Amino acid sequence: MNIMYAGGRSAAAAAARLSRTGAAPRAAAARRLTTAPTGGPVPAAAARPSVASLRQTPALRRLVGAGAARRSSVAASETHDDFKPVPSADAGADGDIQARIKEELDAHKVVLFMKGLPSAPACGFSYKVVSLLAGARVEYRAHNVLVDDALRSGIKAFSSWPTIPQLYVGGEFVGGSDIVEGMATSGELRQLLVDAGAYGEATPPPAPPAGA
Amino acid sequence: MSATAAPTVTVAAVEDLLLTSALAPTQVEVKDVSGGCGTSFKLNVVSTAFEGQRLLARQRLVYDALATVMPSIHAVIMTCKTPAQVAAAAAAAPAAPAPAPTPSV
Repeated sequence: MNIMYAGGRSAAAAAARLSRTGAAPRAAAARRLTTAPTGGPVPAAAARPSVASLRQTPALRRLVGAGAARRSSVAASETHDDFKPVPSADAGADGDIQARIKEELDAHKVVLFMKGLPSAPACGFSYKVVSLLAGARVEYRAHNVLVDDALRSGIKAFSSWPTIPQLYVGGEFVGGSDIVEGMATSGELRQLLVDAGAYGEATPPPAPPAGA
Repeated sequence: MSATAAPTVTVAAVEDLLLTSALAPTQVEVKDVSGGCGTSFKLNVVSTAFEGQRLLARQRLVYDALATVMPSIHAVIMTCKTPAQVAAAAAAAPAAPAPAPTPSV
């Protein structure tokens, strides 16, 4: 119920943003924070009528609908094949998940177990490691532990390390975000990736246009 | 002290665990960086047990000390130094830059 209410407010705020320029977006943002329908420091009368009328139009309903569809497709991409942990018939057996992890680490030079996806990390610490790896232009495999509880607990047991993210290079556990960050700063990460033959493997981003 | 609903880890509990652990730290600083909900902590631990250990091994020692509460903690940001490192740092610079704050995601 709360969620629906919040959704209504942000839809209204979005409508206000669509319908006005200048101060209106700020007003809309402020309104989103207010809990009482008529409360808040913002002169609500300015934005509300247009919100109300906009909310009635099919165009807005389509807009809001499109937004909702986009959001759910983002959620669906959490299970994109590239990142989906291989489902096994007898998942749940602890030995099985350990074998799966071992197999994965044997097959790939750089493997990251994280929360969320590289394109949408679900935790600041996972985000940090993803950014550092992007900086090193490393081709790596990422696993989203949030969609696989067996993997989430399995990887912690595998390394005897209680937190996510966990980075592995050449089959060896490197560390979590603190350690990876420290190694990136000291240059150790680069050396490790060079030694593993993984540094700069990914296609470099296109060079920025020279001059203007 | 702890609420009946959710297991809340307090700063004092973390301090106690560290001080009574095999680390026998000479200095412990614990900060709750989760806004008081006991899910993220920033630790500054100084111990002779870290001598000759790489960062990974040092953090492992700290995690071992906190093993009983780790299941209800989301993140621990740590600085693990030896007394010698602290002395050297104090001699070299007045204050080392603080590590980046916890992302508010």
